[in-house]
Parts: sequence; structure tokens; C-alpha cells
Amino acid sequence: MIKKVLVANRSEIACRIIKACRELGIRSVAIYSDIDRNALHTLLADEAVHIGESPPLKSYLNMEAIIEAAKKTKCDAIHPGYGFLSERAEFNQMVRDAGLIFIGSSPESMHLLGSKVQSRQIMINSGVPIIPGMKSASKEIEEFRKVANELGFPVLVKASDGGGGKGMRVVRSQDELEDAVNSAMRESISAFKSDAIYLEKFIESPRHVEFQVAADNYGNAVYLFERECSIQRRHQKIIEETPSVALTQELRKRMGETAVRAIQAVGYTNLGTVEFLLDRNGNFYFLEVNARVQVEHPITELTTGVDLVKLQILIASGERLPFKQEDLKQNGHAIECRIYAEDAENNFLPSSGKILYLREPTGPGIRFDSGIYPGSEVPIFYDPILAKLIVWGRDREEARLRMINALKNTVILGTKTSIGFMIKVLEHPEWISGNTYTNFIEKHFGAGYSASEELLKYALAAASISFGKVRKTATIAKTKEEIPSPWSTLGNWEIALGKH
Amino acid sequence: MELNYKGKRFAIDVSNNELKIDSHNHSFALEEYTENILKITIDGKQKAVFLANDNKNVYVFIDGEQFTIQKVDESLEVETINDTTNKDIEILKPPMPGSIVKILVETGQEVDEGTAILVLEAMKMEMTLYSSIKGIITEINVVPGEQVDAEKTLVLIKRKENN
Repeated sequence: MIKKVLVANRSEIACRIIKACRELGIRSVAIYSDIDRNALHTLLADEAVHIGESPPLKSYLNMEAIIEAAKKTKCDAIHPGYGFLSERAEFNQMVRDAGLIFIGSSPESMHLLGSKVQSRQIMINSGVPIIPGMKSASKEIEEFRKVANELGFPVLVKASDGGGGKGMRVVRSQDELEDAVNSAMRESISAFKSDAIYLEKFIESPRHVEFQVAADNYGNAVYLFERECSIQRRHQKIIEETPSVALTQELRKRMGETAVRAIQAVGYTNLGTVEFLLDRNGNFYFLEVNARVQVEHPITELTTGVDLVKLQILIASGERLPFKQEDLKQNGHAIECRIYAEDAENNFLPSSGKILYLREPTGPGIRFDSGIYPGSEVPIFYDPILAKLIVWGRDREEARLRMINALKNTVILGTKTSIGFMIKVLEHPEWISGNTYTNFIEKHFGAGYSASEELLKYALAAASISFGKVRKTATIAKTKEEIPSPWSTLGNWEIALGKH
Repeated sequence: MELNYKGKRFAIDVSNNELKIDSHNHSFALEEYTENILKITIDGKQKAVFLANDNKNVYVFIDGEQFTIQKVDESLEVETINDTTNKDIEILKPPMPGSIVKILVETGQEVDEGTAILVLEAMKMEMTLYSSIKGIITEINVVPGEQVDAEKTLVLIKRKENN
């Protein structure tokens, strides 16, 4: 069994891992950058090691320094959390070469998953459905016509070397195809200096449904059901729930078994997530494997009763999976809201600052995974996640109402947050109906979001009271006015001129 | 007192039982629980109001909604009144604190409206700042890699009239 873990991360996930270690009787070591000297994870761990300057490359991405810190503090394992170095095969290998346990899958499996082309081929060979399309790039319009007809419209013309939507065209009919191919090619040449474009089936407003999987080192693997993560802004999830309203038991089983097949195909062990796109006809397509603990893992914990972070540590210690597929059940409904320091009224622009006041929500079925405390800094250097609010309810509606209430009781002052916006999402009739597709925010909140006019009156009154207190001059001015002028207190009188 | 919320100004006058916002009067009652928690009743409707003040902004939280409010400071007025369409000098400031990734122009260079001036990174997001006028770069006050706060003047651009 692992005895001491270095947590190679920060904020809420580092705190989450430290808590799991503590429950397992394992000592934890935090690492921190200059600006995180007083961060919550630094305070919470049994020990903390200063790792470098604030920019991530000099601290949380500094592989040598992290491994050095683990050796110095006599750790026997490193937990990478999510983001930062968690999916870096090179780091994974370095940790092992240093004689330490990497809490995660093997570097070989991470390598395979890291390459889109390779992993696509492996998935095809293992019978995992992928988005159908051309096998390689082409310049022949006839080839595009042929494949488009086979797939059926709409199709997506894509730059092979592209990203960020550049060189990408949705084509809805045969006569739009040639223009789209030519313009995508031009755009790809100017943006990526490459004329390699290809075509695939366009999945119209899909859902993002992912499956939690776990595998031990002895060939046992299970799925811990799905999470629906369709509510996204800037291609990043903000609200997740489980179960997904879109799955029947039959489809759930089929997708879960496919997910297990996908990780076994690459020899993957420990905790992982297999992401799928699900179309309106119940067809699903493999997207990628996330080789780490996910931000949204708590909703699976609340509905299955399995502590996933402890499970990661146990598997890495060489233990067998403590359950079989048939032992796992989904109970009730869970929702997670990610609380980011960001401005929902201004395109979700990240916000930074200092937490001036914090009131955490409490109550039955409410969990708050946090990386902040009153007085802590929200640095500009890292992902601006502050905390995650997770609720459990017997059914979706109970969970929804509980979440709205809990959000209204999550008071974070000093930085902007997306709390108000997420309440609006959960109150939206289309969310209530379960019509959650990846274009949800764009479609229903494309015109932007604004805080309520009605409440602004209260806010202005409160602000004026508060500013009135700090500005002593205002008080003095008021006092002056209140002192009556002597001229007005003398009563009626006349200047007696010439009466002598 | 004059307050600023999202670039809009409000004249606020709070007395014992009356709240005046611009020219509208409302009945008003206040109970103070702590420095950060108030109970405010406006026109008979009561709300729990959470607030914090860092001497620059007052942050207010009511029923899940957030408001960041400033006091209108007369000394800063000249800058806020300046209309971007007819100002002579553009003062480029970052929309948030961050670090300078790249500077895309040089001093003396002529730029158009929409010319990319520099790239800033904050919280894993890169953003490009553009010129909003046609003009000449007269000053560059930062170097790549430099950490800047939101008040920092990054670049000055002097308007050049069309002939």
C-alpha cells in the first residue's frame, strides 16, 4: 500500500486528493508556486514544498522539480490530478524511472491515446464506433462527392491540421459541396499552410455523454455509468448530470460495454473516462479517452457510492477492483455546477482577485469541493475554477431544485462568478425538459446574460450604504448640514437703523 | 451619491425610510446583521443582501445574482466620458490582469482600426488587443513576459486623420 503521496496539482482537486489520502491513512505532500504560498491546498496537506515561480511552466509543469520534491519528502507515489501534467506520458515515465508510483495508467497507453490517428484506428479494430468519414485527406472533388453521398447530408468539411473552427464547413446539400471544399482549402492554406482537408458525418446538435471506467492491473474492468456534460461554454463543461435523460437501460449497457472495450484495446488501467457524442437517434461515436480523474467525478461518486479518488490510489497500490460490474448500481440523480471566477455577463471572460467573503452552502444532499477560503487569492496564472457544487436528489427534479437553492446560498464575493448564470440555465424550460445539447448555451443564451434589474435596486442601496461608511467625508458633510445656521435660529428680528 | 454599474450611472439617495434612485422614490428599510450581511426592504419586498467592499468596488450578492458597483470618482471622469470614436489618443489597457505574450507592433508604426496590437494571456486564455482607431504607435510600455495589472497603460496610439 502507498504510504505517502505527492499531489502534483493545486486548487480544489488537490484538496480533494488530500482528503482521500487522509481517509486512507496516507500522508500527503502539497506543492505550491510563489502565489499559492497561502493557497488552501498548501495549508491542508501534511507537508508542503515550494516548487517555483507562479507561471505554470516554472511550477506545476516543472517535471524535474516535482519529482525532486517527491524524493526529498520521501513520497512513494505522485497523484497528478487533472490538467497540468496528468496526461503527459513523458512525465508518467519520468515518475516511474525515479522509482515512484504514478497514480494513473501506463505511459504506453497514454501515448496511444494521445495520437488521434492511432487511437482512431485501434478503436475501429476493436469495434468501437467513431464518427464515419474519409480515412485520409483528399484534393479530388469527386472523392468528396462520393463519400458525402455514402454518408448522407449534412457533412462536415474539415482541415486535417486545423483547430478552432478554422477551415471547417457544414454542408447540407450536394450543390453546396464544391464551394465548401474550395473555401475550406483556401482557409486551411492561409491558416495552417496545408491543403489537407477531409470530410466526415456532421452530427447535428449532439449530446456529450461520457462513461466512467475503472480497470485494475489484473485484467478486471468495469464501467461506473455515464455523465452527461452537454452544457458547455467555450467548449468547456460547466454543468454535468447523471444519469443522462437520453439513455435507455439497453443503450446505457451497450455504451458502457463499448467504453470498457475501448480502454482494454489500449491496455489502459486505473480510472479513466471514455467520451462519446450521442446523436438524436441513439447512435454514439467515440471521441476520446480522458486518462485521469475528471473534474465532474463527484456526480458519479454520489450516485454509485464509490469514492473514485480512493479507488485510484488503491488500484495504483496494486489492489484488485473491490467490485464487479453487477455490484454497481445508479442511485438517484446528481448534478454538478462548476464555479469559475468568470464574467458570465461578458463572454465568460476569466476574472481574478481576492475572496473577500465566502459562505458555503450546506444541507442534505449538498457537497462543496472547494479550493478557496475568505482572504485567499484567485491568481491570474491558472484555470479559474474556484469550487464545484454538487447535489444529490432522489430524482432529477429534486436535484435541480436543490441545486438552484444551493447556488442561491453560495456567496462568493471579491471576484465575478457564473453562479447567477447557472441558475438561469437550470430554470430554463428546455433544461427542465432534458433537451440538453452541446449548443444549449449558444442557442438559448446567445444574446448574452444579464443580472436582474429588479435586484439591482437592492444592490445599489447596499453599495451606497457601504461606500457611505468608508468615505468619512460624506459623514462630515452630513453633520455640517445638520448644524443649524445661527441666522435661522434667532427668530424674527430687524436691524435697528437710525432708531436711536 | 453617484454610483456606476456596468458603465451606467445612478444617483442614489438613501434616507431612513426612503430610497431614491435617479428620480424614482421607493419605500425603504434596513437591518444590519453584520458588516457583510444586510436585510433590505424595498417597496415592501425584503431581501437578504451580502456585500463586501475593497474600497474600489462593492461586491453584492442577492439570491444568486452578483453586482459589482463603483462609486463615481470625479477625478476619473475625463477618461470615462471620452468617446472612443473621436478621441485623439487611444490608451490601450488590458481587460484583466495577465502577462504579455507578444507585441505585434513597433513604436512609430502606423495602424488601422482593427490592427492587432498585442497578445495577452490570463488564466490559460489568450486574447488579442486591437486598435480602435487609425493612428501611429507613440509609446509601448511593456515587454513580452511582463505581468501587468488592469490599470497598466500598455500602448498609446495617436490618431491620424484621413486626408
